[in-house]
Amino acid sequence: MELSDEVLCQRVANRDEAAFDLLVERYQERAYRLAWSILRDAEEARDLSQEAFIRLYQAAESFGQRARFSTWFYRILVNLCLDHRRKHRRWRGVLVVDRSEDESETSLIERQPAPFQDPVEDLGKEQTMKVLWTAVDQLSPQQRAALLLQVQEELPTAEIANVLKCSEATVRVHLHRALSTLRKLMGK
Amino acid sequence: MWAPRHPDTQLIAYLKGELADRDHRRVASHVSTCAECTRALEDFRKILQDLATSVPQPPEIQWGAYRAELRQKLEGRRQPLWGWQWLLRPLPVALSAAVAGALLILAFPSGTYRPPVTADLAFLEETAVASRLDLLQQYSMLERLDLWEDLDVIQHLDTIQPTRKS
Repeated sequence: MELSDEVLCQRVANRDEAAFDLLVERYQERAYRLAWSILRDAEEARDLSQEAFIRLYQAAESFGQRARFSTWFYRILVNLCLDHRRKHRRWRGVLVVDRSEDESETSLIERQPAPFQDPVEDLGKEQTMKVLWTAVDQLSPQQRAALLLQVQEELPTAEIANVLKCSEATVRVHLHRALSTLRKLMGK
Repeated sequence: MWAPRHPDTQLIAYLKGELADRDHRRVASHVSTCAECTRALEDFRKILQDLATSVPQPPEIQWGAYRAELRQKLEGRRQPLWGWQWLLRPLPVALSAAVAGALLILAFPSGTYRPPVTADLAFLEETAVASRLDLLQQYSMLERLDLWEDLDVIQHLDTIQPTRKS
C-alpha cells in the first residue's frame, strides 16, 4: 500500500531518509515546474525548488497535518519564489518561449495534442497563447501565483488561500483582477 | 435607477463550482439576467481553458542529477548536532576552550599588546587638538614654537641656542 504524503512527511521528521527521497520523487517535477512558472528562469527554478525540499527536510517536524502536505509544501515553495522575485525584481520582458533556455525550439502548439487541426488556425492560436502568457507574466506576483495555482496545479480556492497565507476572499479578488486584466489585454 | 450589484469576485468561484448552494443560486440568477456578467463569465471560462491547455513547460532537466545535487546541498547544510545540544557535549566544549586559549596566547605573546594606531585614531587626535587650538594659542611659548616651526627654525634649535639672548 502506498504511503500518503502526510505519513512520509512524519517519517522525514524522524529523519527517515528513504521517506524524504520518496517525497522528492513525488514532488520534484511539480515543484520545479511551479517555480519555473513563477520565475521563468530554469536555473533559479531548479535552485529554489531544491531549497524548498531542504526547508521541508529541516521543518518537517512543524508540519502539523492541519493542512494537506501538498498545500504546506507549496506554501514553502511559493513563498521562496515570491521572496526571491521581490529581492531580485527583474521586470524584464519575459517571453513564453525563451530561446535562451534551450527549449528545442518547440512551440506551445507543438506540445499540445491537436494533430488534426488546420495549421493556419494553429498559427493564430499559437500567437494568441503567446500573447496570453506574456500578459500573465505581467500580472502582479500575487495575482500570478494565484492564477498559476489555479490553472496549473488546479488547486481549489481554499488551498490557494492556504498557500498564499491569505483569505479565500482575497484569492477571489486576486483571480478576478488577474482574469479581468487578461480579458482587457486580449481585447475581449 | 437602482442598478444590480455584479457578483464580480464570485464569478470564478461560481465557475469552479465552489460556492455554497445559496450563493450559487444567487449568482446564477444574476448571470441569467445580466448581459455584462454573462459575457465576463464566458470570457473568464475561455481564458482559463486556454491557459490550462497551453501551460508552458520548463526546460527539461535530468532528475537523477537534480536529486544528487539536492542531496549534496542537504549534506552541506546538515549539522551533526543542532544548536544548544552541541553545548551539552563536554569534548567539543573542552576542545573549543583549548583552541580559544591557544589563540589568545598567540595573539598576546608579551602581554603588552598595544592596538595599532589607525588612521581613524589619528584623525580623532587631530580633531581634539583642533578643538582646543584657541586655548593653546594663549600660551606665548607655543606661539613662538609655532613661529619657529613656520620659519623652519625648530629643526635647528640646537645650533641657534647658543646665540640666543635670554
